[in-house]
Amino acid sequence: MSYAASTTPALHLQGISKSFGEKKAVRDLSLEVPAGSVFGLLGPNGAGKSTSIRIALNIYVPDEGTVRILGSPHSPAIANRIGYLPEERGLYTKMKVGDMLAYMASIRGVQAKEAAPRIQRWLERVELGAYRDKKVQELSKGMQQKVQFIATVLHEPELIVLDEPFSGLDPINTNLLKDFIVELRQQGRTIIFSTHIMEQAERLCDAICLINSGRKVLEGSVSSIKAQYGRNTVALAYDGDGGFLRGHPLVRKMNHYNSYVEVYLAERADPQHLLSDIAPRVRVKRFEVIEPSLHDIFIDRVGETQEAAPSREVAVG
Amino acid sequence: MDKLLAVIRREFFETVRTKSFMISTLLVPVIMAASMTVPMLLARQSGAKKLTVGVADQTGALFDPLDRELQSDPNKDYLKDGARKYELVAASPEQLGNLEEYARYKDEVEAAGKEAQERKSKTPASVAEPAPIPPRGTPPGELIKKMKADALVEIRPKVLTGESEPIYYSENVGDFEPIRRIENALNSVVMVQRFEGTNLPPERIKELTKGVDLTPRKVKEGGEIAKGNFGTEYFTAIFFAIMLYMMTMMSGMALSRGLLEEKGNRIIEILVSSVTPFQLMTGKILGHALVILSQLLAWSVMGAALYMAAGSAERSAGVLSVMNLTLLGYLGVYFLLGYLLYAALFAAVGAICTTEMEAQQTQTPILLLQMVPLLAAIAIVRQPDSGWSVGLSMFPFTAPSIMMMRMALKPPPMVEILASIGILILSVAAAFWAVSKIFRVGILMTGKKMTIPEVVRWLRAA
Repeated sequence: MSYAASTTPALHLQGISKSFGEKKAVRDLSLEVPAGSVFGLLGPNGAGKSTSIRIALNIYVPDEGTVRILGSPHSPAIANRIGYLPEERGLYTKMKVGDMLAYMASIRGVQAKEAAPRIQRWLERVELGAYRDKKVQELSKGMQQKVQFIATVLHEPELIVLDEPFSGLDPINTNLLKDFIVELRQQGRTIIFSTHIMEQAERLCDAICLINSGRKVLEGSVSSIKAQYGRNTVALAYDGDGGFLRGHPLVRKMNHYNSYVEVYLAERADPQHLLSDIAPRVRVKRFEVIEPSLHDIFIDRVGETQEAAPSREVAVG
Repeated sequence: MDKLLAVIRREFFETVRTKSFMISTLLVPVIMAASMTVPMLLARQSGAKKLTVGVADQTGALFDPLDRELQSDPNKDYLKDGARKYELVAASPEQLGNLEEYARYKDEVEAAGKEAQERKSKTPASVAEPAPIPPRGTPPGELIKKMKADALVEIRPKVLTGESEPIYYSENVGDFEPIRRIENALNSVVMVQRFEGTNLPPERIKELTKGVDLTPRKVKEGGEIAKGNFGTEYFTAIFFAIMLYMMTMMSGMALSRGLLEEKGNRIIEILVSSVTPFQLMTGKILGHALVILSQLLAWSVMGAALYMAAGSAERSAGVLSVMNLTLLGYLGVYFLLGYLLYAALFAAVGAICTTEMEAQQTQTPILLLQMVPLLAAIAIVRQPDSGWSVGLSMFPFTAPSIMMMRMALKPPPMVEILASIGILILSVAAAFWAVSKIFRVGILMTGKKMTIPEVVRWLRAA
C-alpha cells in the first residue's frame, strides 16, 4: 500500500481554524493526506468538510493554522497541479462544451493546442464525442456531470479534490466516477473526496478523516480504524426472548436489523463470555464476530461527540 | 500571463458571440442615424407648408407693405412649387372692431379683478362678489377660425411709436421659423413707416436700418482660423462624453453580471483556486475593453460606409474640422483611463453583490457619478476655464469626460492635462489594488450582502 510510504504528504493541514461571524466552521483541524492515496473526508452535513477543502485550496484564508499542499504553501504554480470539483458544481451554460473545457484547461496552464486532443479523447470516452460544439445548457444533467468531471482532470493534476462528488449522480455516473477514481489512483495521483455516504468511502478510500462540528473525530487508514473496532462487534441472530440483552454488562450498545442484531461489546469484553452467557437462554442461530462498517463507526463516533458537545454550533457546509 | 490572456480571451469571445452584442452593434448606428435625420426631415416638412396669416392691422398702414415684404425673399417666402409660403388675409373693419372690443373687455376684467383683490385684502369677509362682466368682442382664437387662417398677427397703433409690440397668435408657437420671418418683415416695414415724412426712399431706409451680425470664428493654435461653429464643437464634446458614459455603463454592467453568474454557479471557486484575483479582475476588465474597442471599430466602419453611401462627405468634415491627431490621441487616453476606472468599480459591484437586483441598487451611485459631466456639459461649454471646470477635470471620476469636452472647446494648459492624466493613472492603480482585495474576499460570499465596514476591514487586512 503506497499509503504507508513515507513520502511528502499531498496535503498537510496544521491547526486550521475558520469562523464565519459567530459560527466556528473548523476548529483546530490537523490532518495529513498521504501522496498517492484515496483520502475520504467524512462527516455529517455541516461538519465543516467543504470549508476545510476550500481552505486547503486557498479559496478561504484560515483564521489560524498553516496549509502545505504538494509540499509547499499554496502558489499559482501549484494551482496548475490541482484539480478541484466544487460541491455546487457549475458550468458556463452558454459556452460550447469544447470551448469551456479548453478555458478550464487554459486557466490551469494547459495551452489550447495541447488541450484540444485531450478534450476530444475524454469526451469520446464518456460518450459525449458528438457534443463538443453543443452549448452546455443543451446537455442533460447527467451529461453535464460528466463534463464537470472532465474539467476537473483535463490538466492531469497530481492532486484531485472532489467535494461531495457522488451527490446527485445516477447509478451509471456513480459507477463511472468510481472507476475514474480507481484509475487515477493507479496512475499514482492523490484523490481527496468528501462525502457523508460511508459505503462509498469504505469501498474507495485508503485513509479517512472523520470530522464533526468542525473537529476531527477520527483519522487513519480504513483498515487500522476497522481493526481497532473489529473485535468488539458481534452479529447475533436467535429465536426466543432476548430482552435480557438490554442492560447486559457485556453489551455497550445494540443496533437492530431485520434478521439480526449488531451488538457492540463493552470495553475489554470477550465475545466468548457473551456467547456462553446467552446460549442457555435463547436458541442461537448466528453468532459471528464481525468488522463494523464505517457507517456504524461513523454513527457511533458522531453520536458520541454530539452528546459531548450538545449545542451544534456549525451550519456551514 | 497565459492565464490572464485566457481570461481576456474568454470574456472577449463569449461577449462578442452573444446576441445582445450583435444587436447593439447593429442597432446603435441605426438609432443614431435616425435620431439625426428624423428631426431634419420633420423640420423640412413643416417648412414646406403654406401658412395663412390673418393680419389685424389697427394702424391701417402696414398690411400692404407687409404683404410685399413677405414676397421679397426668394429663399424664405416661397414653397418648392413656387407658390407663396405666407398668405396674408386682412381683417375686415368689423373684425378689427370686435378684436379691439375683446381687448377692452379683457382689460376691464383684469381691472375689476385687481380691484376686488384689493378690497378683499382690506375687508376680508362678507363683501359681495361684483357681478361678472359679460364677454364682448371676438377673442383672437375665434378670429383665426373665422378668417380660416393658421395664425393671427395683431398690430396696435402704438407699435409705430414703439410703445407696444405686435402679437403673433397661433395654436402652434413652437415653430420659430415663420415667427422669426414675420418678425423680420414687420421690423422692416415698421421702420419704413417710422421714417415717413423724411423723404428718404424705402431702399435707403432699409440700408440705414440694417442690423449687424456677430460672426464667431475659432482661433486654433498657430494662428490659423477655423470656420468652427458652436453647434459642431458642442456636439463633438458632448458626443465623446456620452460615448464614454454609454460604453462604460454597458460593459460595466455586463462585467458585473458575468461575475454574478460565476458566483451563482460556483465556477468562481474553480477560478479563484486557479488564477489570482488580480488576474481574474484584470482579465475581465481588459476583455470587456476589447469588446468596446471592436464595437467602436465596427461603428466607425459602418459610419464611414454610410457617409460614403449618402455622398455627404462635407457633413462629416464638420465634425472632423475640430479634430486633429493630437486631440484624438488625448481623447483615446482619457477614454481608456475613464473606462478602466469605472470598470474597476463595476467589478467591485459584481464582487460584493449576490443578486442582480442588489447589483442594480449598488450600481446607482456609480451611474449618478457618471452623469455629473453630462449635466455639467452646458456650463463647461460656456466656460471651459472656470474654477469648476478645472476642478471637475482633476477629479478622477469626472476628469475623462470633462477633459474631453474641454479639449474639443479650447485646449487647456499642458500642466492641467498632465496633472489630470497623472491623477487618473494613480486612481486607476489604486482602484485596481483595492478592488482586487475586495474581489478576493467578496467573490466568495454568497447569500449575504457585505457591509461597508466589512469592506474597509478587508482593505486594511490586505
